[in-house]
Amino acid sequence: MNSDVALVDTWAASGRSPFHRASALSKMAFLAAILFAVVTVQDPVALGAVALLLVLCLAVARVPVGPALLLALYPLLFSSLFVLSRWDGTWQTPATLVLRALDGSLAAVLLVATTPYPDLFAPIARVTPRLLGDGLFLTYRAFFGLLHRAERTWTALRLRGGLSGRGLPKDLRHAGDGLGQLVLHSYDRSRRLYEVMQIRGHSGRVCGCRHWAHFTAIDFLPLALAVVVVAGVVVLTRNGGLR
Amino acid sequence: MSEPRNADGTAVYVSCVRHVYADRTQVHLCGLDFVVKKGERVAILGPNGCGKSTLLYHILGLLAPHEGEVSVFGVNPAKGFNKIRERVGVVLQNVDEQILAPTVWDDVSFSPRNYGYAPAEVDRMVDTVLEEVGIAHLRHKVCHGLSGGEKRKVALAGALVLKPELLILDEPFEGLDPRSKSDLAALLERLHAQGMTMITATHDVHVVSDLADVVYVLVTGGEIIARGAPEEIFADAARLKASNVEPPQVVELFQRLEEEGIPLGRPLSVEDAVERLKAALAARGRDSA
Amino acid sequence: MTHLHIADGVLPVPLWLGGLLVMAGLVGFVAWRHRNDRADRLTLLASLAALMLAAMAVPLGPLGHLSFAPVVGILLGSGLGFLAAVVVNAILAFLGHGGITVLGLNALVLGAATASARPFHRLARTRLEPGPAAAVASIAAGLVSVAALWAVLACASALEPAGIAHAATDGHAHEADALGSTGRFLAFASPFWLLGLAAEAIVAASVVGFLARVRPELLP
Repeated sequence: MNSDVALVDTWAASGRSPFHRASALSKMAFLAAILFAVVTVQDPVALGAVALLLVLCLAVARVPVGPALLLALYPLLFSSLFVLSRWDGTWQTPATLVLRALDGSLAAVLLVATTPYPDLFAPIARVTPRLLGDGLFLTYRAFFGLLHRAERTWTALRLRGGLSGRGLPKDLRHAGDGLGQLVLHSYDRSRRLYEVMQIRGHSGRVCGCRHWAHFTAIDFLPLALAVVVVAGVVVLTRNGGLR
Repeated sequence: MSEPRNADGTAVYVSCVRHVYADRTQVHLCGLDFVVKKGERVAILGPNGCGKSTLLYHILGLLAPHEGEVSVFGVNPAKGFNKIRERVGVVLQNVDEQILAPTVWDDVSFSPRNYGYAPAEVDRMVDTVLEEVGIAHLRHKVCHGLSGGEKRKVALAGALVLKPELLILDEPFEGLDPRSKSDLAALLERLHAQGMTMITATHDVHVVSDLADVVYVLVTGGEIIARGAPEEIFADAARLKASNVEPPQVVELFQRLEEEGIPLGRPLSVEDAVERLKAALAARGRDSA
Repeated sequence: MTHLHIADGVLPVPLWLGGLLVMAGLVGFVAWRHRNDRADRLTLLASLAALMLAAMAVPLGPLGHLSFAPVVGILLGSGLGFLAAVVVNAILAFLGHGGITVLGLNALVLGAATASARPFHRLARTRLEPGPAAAVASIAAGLVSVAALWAVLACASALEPAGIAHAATDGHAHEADALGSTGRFLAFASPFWLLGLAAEAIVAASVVGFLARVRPELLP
């Protein structure tokens, strides 16, 4: 999961596709439309079409489709227990559940893979308490500093025999000590980061980097797609493909 | 030596500050007062753990003293840093604690965006400072993929983008190769020529003569034991050794020569040393003739 | 181990919508209660939430992964602990590791663990050292979280007793036995949860014991 975050961050920060250039708000509207379809549409064929649309969007955004798909499939591993427990003997039920999960995940991955995190959190920070807005930003930022440190800590534990695999309880205790070090390191670093943010002008509202609310012609793409998806749901209503 | 803290021309004033950390470590920044005049370049020299960073964090208002006084542009930074923060730029020792945004452009533009500058003005300011620091080619790069030296330059660009009056640097040359060090030294020289006040904390004595008009020497525990021009400070080898600071090799070499009965002065740089040696050899040649 | 990982479109609309509303209300309340906190409480929240994300990368074989939730709750307290759960679930949702619509329910389930850990720890501290007390608190908080998860699933069954109704090729609706399916789900997952509880308890004891020796001022 650690490498997933780093990968997604790189995709978001370095892309120049139409999706990257669209504003965060218009992409969030597209995500909302997809979620609307996910929670209302029953027809697995329609849900499959949505998945194909999202894969196409990833390709247009020049996000590596394979790794993005793997990322989107992650929750299915854990949802499989739930799917199995709800199985009624038909193929439609598991297909519907799986495709709903996939569509929701793919839409989320498309959003974060094309939107740098300050632009993602800036609109959220405008409608949530400061603790939550700043908390999201700092947590995401702190996580990156922690990635490398955590990897080095695990390496050190393995090299020094702390994670020998010869007894899970003992390994867990050593992992706990390593995590304790990380708590201290992370806390000190986060504190310093927040202090620097304030020195550099942060005043309580996360400032997006680019144009999270500035609409241009390129926003037509995600907004048009959102309209298409919603229209599709409406059409299906009339044809009885809903819940 | 003490100066009125609000005197015209005083940028920073620190007097006998005592700070106690959570683990009960105490730092007493006492002895001499720490005074920085506007336009001055000051270096803080001292061994690891002597309190250099503690002093800088008090100036930045990140720490509040348990005793003593700190004033920056006439303001107590622990209480009123917001009033002066646009006038102060800082580059911390660990630049990873300073880089806040995904790409180089995003990070350097953090301050002007937060202060509400118009987008076109932000673009102009960022472009200017990226050229100045020599990292325009890194504009769209993702920060966490950069080398340590490149990150340090990004942090410096972020500190300079608003053209601060006071620049604070904590170990600015750490992790830089020799070429990058000399580029950075040249940049700081240009900024100083434009009137910027600078405070640099370092234990690298070889850069001090290029970086500073005034040097403060700290010893373990935080006491400020010496203040003066680099040549005065490096002239007292015994005091430097007592504070666990090695003088530059060229200074030590000429001190040893002086002790051996060959007084050739106290050059601070290799260039100066070469000139003195050439002059001495030329004089010896004349005497022989 | 106390993270739903159930994706979008699986649970009934009133349930996840209700979860979002309850979460929003609790976030507002916590933010108001902590409105005058010092900045270092926010940075502690962020650092611990980041650690929860990092801890989720610690694989426990078939058990899945750690959540670090009890330790976070002990260090942050109930209110900020719940907020940390919200932050973590929001970031996970954006990364596709769990649904966005179920964010509220995920936050409530994980938040049940983070919010209950400190009260349990305080109780256990009357008789135990910090490390063992953290283990006890971790197990208790984990059980609270499992109970919250069970409550969510029970609500799902109650709201949608017909299961997922759809038109099959023969034109008749096929219905899943909802109560039976909830029981099957719990039966599948229980062994993993119990082992996960044990793993979290050992880690919690170790981390809190470490902090008690090195930085006791971080502990309640």
